[in-house]
Amino acid sequence: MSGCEADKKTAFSIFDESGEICPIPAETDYFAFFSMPRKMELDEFDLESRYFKLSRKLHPDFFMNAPASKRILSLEASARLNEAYKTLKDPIQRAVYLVELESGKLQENDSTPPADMLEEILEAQEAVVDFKCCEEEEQAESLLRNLEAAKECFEAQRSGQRAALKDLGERWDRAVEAGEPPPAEVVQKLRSILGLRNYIDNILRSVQNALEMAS
Amino acid sequence: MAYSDKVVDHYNNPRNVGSLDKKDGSVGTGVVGAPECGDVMKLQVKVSEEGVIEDAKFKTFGCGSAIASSSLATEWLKGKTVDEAQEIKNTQIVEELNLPPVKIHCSVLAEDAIKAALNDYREKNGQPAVGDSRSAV
Repeated sequence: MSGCEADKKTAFSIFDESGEICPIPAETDYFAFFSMPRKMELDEFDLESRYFKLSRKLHPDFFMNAPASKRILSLEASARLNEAYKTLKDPIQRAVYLVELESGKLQENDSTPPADMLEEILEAQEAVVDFKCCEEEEQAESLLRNLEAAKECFEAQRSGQRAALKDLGERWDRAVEAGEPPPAEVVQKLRSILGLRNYIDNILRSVQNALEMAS
Repeated sequence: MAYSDKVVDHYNNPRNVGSLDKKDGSVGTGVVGAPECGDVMKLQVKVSEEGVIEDAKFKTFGCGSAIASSSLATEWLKGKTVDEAQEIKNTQIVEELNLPPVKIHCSVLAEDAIKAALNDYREKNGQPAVGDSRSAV
């Protein structure tokens, strides 16, 4: 156990010096888990190879003959590892995780959606419902055009947000590389954009689903 | 986890779906969203000269509990005065619909929508806004 304590202060390690699996401290974040810097941009191949390496060490299959306490530790560590990998490999999930790690949970008041955005979403959803129940061909065609236009519009919004996120991510990383905290303005903008992602994702999913039914 | 019978009923037969004329001075409109799940809710009230809500409509893009919460809200709003409507609490919606803890935010969204609609009506009619339209449980 002493090995674990020492490691906690320097680098995070799952194994102590005698090679025994240790409990993972609760405060260990996903970046520390992979010994990677807390940056927005991340080499996904590097992450993957670290993930595989850790998986091979932690997998419960290797602890079949170990005492129960060690078996449980391996299960817990593997679950945590999978969750960490899933979160960090997706750029959006990674951004949400990192922003929340540095500046607290995203909240409702982080982002006020642009005045028209919510109305546009409701209109698009109405078109989806109408289209699904529509039996008249001419009307269906006009609704289909509405849906295609809505899809294009929301996709444009989404790519605009992605581009803004990339830009803000680069500014974040530059600060981290310089050993400084990310500028407050960058953090606030990131929080605001990330707070809108679910609206756009949901409506696009719904519109796409209706369009797929049509084709 | 199963939805309660009341949620299913409102989901299958939503009350008062639709829109009122947003530009009408006697109509108050509230459009609110929940960033964590992406649900969107629009709730409108039409207020008589005596200050009584004579009609209420909603449109919701979200889960069954969000639809049921807003449907129930419109039922409750009709016949109430603006001041009485202000008193509707999300906890009453939770109780009536038997919402589980993970769906409480749907009722909060409905309360937010009510308050936003009432404040929109007040603003249109030269009255001061009341309270903070965001409330937490």
